[in-house]
Amino acid sequence: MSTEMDFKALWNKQPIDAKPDIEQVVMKAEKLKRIFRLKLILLNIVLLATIVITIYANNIIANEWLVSKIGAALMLIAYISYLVAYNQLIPILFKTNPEISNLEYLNQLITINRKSAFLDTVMTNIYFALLSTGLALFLIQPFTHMKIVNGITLYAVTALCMAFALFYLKPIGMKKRKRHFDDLITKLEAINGQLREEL
Amino acid sequence: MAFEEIYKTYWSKVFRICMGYVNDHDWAKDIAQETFVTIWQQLPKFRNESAIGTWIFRIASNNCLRQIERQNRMPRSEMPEQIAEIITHDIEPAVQFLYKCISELSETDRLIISLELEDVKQAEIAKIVGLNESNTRVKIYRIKERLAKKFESYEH
Repeated sequence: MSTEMDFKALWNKQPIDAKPDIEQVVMKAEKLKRIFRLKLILLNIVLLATIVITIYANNIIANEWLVSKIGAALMLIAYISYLVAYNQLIPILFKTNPEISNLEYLNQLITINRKSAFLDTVMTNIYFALLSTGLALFLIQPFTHMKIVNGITLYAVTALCMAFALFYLKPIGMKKRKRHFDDLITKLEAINGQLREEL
Repeated sequence: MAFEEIYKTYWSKVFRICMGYVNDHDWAKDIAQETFVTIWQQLPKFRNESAIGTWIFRIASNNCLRQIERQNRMPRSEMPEQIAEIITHDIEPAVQFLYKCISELSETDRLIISLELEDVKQAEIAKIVGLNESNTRVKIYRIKERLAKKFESYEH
């Protein structure tokens, strides 16, 4: 039984699932493309709306102080950079090429995941740094127009919210994503190692 | 070669390679479909630098390797026994055993032996996997030896 021919004969006896209608496959591919395009359009609308709202809010509040304007700008940059990095840039920059050899493909996947893990940490830190600095600067002007108690309350509540995000939400999210990347990289390296084993 | 022709010629080959990798009909069908979607998308860029078969098997095997990112899939071995039985009851036991043995190999060995059993030339397998020819030959020999041992104990 255990001859090459027997293995091949058995291998070919595997029932093959009926191949889906060719149009269905093509439609699936086109649908994927459409979804991708729709996401792109939606993202741009969100980005545009964010910019408009922030500029509008900045004008309504009539910020005369430069620090407030800088604060608003920093928050805007934080928001945009976060969205760009997470929804658009990463998939485009780190696109895999499915036509290369398995060894090269595995190396590519490892590099992509390492870069994604690094970018995730860097982008999250940049986002929080820009957002908290921007918010702190933005609130200086309203603070001067408030009663001292109201001003302190406003800063305290904002600081509490930021602290919750910084010291609770951020570490949890980052830890979870880091574990995901680490796990994936370890598995990919293990598979890669199979090809490098001494023969 | 037109996509329709590629699809007709290679569906069963790609499906079997995916089956060798995951040993799960539905999952294998999903990977095979993804492979053909990629082929459909990439075909206009195909420049005949390699044989069409090599190119297709590269995409298929890379798609198999990518399955590591989909951890929420329940591996076949972890399915309740009853369900597993319902799905596989009409497949010849020796065929089931062969695919089971292959799916228990390391990821790259699964791909190498699947390509070998699919009658892909060893030089082409080496190109697909990214090893040199002599290493590929040794690997194939060792995998077959392991499978043969498993079959010996299966038959006795």
